[in-house]
Amino acid sequence: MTKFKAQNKSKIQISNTKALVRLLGIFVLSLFWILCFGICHSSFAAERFFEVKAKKFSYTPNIIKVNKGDKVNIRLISEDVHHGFFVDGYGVKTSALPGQEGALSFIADKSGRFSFRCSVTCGSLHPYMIGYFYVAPNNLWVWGVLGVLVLGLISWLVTAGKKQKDEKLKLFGIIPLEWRFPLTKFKPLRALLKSRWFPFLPIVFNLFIFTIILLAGFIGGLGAGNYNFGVMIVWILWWVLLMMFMVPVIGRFWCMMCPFPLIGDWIQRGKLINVGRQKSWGLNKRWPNKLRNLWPLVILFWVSTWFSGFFTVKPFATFILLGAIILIAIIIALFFEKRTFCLFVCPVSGFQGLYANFSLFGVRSRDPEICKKHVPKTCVVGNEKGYGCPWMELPYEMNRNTYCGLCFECIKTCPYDNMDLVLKPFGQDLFAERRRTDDVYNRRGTDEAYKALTMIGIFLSFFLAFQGPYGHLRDMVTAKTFGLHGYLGYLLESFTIDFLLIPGSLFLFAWLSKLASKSKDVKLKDVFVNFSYCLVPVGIAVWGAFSLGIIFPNGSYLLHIISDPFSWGWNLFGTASIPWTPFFTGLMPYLQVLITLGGMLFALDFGYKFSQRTYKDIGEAKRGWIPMLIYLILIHIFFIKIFVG
Amino acid sequence: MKKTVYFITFVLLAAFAGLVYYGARHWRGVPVQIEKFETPVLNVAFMDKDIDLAQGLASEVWQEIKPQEIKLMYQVTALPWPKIKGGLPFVAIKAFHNKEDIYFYLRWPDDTEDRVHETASFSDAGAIMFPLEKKAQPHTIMMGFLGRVNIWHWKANQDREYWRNESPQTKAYVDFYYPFEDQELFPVSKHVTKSPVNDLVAIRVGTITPKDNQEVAGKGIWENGVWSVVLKRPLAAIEAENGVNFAAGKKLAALAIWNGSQGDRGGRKSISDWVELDIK
Repeated sequence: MTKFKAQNKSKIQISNTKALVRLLGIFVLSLFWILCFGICHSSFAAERFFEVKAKKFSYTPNIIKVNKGDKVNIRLISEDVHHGFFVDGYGVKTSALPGQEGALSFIADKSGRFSFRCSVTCGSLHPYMIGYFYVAPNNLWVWGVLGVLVLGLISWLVTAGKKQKDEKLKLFGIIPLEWRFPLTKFKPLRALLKSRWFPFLPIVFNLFIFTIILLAGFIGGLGAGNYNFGVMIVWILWWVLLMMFMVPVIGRFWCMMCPFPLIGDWIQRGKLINVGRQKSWGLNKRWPNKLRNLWPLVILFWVSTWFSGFFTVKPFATFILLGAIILIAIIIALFFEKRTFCLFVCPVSGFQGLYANFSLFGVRSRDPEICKKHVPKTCVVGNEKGYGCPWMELPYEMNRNTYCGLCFECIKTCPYDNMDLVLKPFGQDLFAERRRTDDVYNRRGTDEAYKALTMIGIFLSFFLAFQGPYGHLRDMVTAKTFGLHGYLGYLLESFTIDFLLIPGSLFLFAWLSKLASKSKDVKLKDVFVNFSYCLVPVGIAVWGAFSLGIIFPNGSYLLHIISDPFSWGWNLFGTASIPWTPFFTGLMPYLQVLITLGGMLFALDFGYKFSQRTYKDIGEAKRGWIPMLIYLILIHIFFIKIFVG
Repeated sequence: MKKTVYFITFVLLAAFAGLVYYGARHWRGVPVQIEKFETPVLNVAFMDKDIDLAQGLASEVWQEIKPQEIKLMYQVTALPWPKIKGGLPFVAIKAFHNKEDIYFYLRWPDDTEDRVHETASFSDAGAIMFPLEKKAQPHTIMMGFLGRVNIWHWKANQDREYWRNESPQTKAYVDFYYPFEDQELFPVSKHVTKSPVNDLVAIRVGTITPKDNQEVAGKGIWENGVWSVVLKRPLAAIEAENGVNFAAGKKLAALAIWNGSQGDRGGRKSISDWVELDIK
């Protein structure tokens, strides 16, 4: 037996050495390719002339390629209305009226990929009128790919050397994943969270802002979207804050202060601030068990993206969308119990719930023993201090953020102050088993897997349509090219990417992982679902990088709309006349690469941990990890390509 | 309870639907009644007549034809606009053909006869534009706006030079006019006017190009505050690609009038929308 074990061990070592040699070979080949790429793209400077035709909302040609040092001469011709031509990173611009050409000359002294974009408000999709300007050699793309390969190699080297499964999960092998720090140890914070005025006051503040947003959408809608308070606050400021800060760092911070369910809460409880009815007024129905998961939110968010070409740019469309969400929230509150709307209907709830599992904060019970003995469980049934969990969680044993809306009612109702707002390492909840004790489901599911996957698919569709150089896609999104057929084509493309290509690619590599692991016990579905969770940091990263492309070029419009929220010519704070001023557009590609690599770092760390969790022994886990490692390397090279390649 | 919930739901849905309906009607401002524009039709009938422009405009011939009044509007692209916005309200047009040539007669009011083009004073003028593309652009602004057009541009100053043989010795020419021109074998700087009408092609603003073959003849007379201009050209153009051909059937045309004393020149002019020529 001992001899057999020794033989086996030496076989594993030989196989590991071979694999190492192969991987190093691939790495050297990649470096060689990168070197060749650099040499091929180096050439002598020359003077280049381009005639660029601008038409709502694209340029022809939409891609301009030059070499570093070239003198670039642009002759801009408008084929419909007044258009501009601004080059990110270079900060040079010109504009053209119909019949009056614009001209621009500059030396292409910075290499890389830059966007050129319209600098004159020309219509609803003006902020997304973009083309690409390539200055060879594109070093950032090369360095980005190199970064991905290096991270992949490091990950493989680290994991290949492991002799046994990790006893304790540690983030990057440093911070124990179960580590928590109770922030509510600080009395002022606990007092704040126990007060009935919190989070009521932030909600009221938000209600004020959203009232202006709705009014701006309804009566101030004559301005273009980029000069409308509603469009700018919701789709530029809110979205960027949500994807870059709130969700990845604080979790469902937005849900805490979202004003949409306020009227429904009021109807159900009979009171706005103090504690009213514990049992919801209305029909108080229970949401069907089969739909008590993320599937409705996967579908609803996807459906809401069908209209992205309208409500992200047209003030009145924004009004309709937000108005419809508020209306549905009230109606759902009339028919169903508590926060059913937030849990299973709100389109933006799904990704917030899933991505909140990555965040640094959460509400958890401090001592489970106290909760065990405490009867009745006031965090569930409520008391005179607060309501039983409106999100229908069992707060005393909550270990994941997916369905916690940070309303802090459990902190208010706990007589033992046993509920805490805790600080925890990134991604802790992703490893916690799903535990919905009031529900029939008690497992990781394809709903969360598909939520993670469709979020990446929707990012791709959005990026191609709104930050890519493809005017026909923008026309398809708004049903301009090919009319209804074009629009349906866009929906088909979106469906194919979101529900077939992206999930299909993970499924393929999950199958390869199972094959490589040689495991006969584990189910393919479990491999697929488990590994899908390492796409959570990937999704957060690519959406963060995407958001930079929204805020840096378009953020300056915010200065205008705070002074003139209804497009009525006001100048409340003296900022209405500040012209469009894009900022950090030269830095943006570097930040996008860094954020993407940051997401990969987490994905690699989480991925191997999920491999250990999925497969029963270290050999299977290591073998099963290799296809997933390759998958993560490939998709990150693809993302780097999307952002800067 | 159930009835109350359903009632509230119904009221909320109806209120929101009403808001959306109202918003959809008003999101581009208060809706106005837009009159459907009907393209005026000008009959171009056959008449066995010929006009020798050297003898005059042959008013007796034109008296037989009923005029079509075409509404004009002042252009909105080039600034500044004249103080009295609106320019000319209309231009009257008549036309006929004799199977060889086609004739157009334009008549519009103008208080002053502006036949000199020099510094800060501009000539009166009139023009007809014909689209050369099968599918014309929906509006006549900006030289057909990316569709090729053939323009016949009659200018009062050119008319003076051609028919009255009066040299354009104005201040405007002083810097480049060569005083010994007549003693030279070949013209050095003098522009030789071959016709009062420029036969042009254009594809958009800034692309006006004289055709190689100037085929259009014309003459204008100002009397009692009214301009009368006749344009004449063979039915078939020599340059088939760049000249409009008048086969029997429908053809589009647009008119433009410049009032020199008002500062009209270049893009500053009164224009019409498309007029349909019905060539018999």
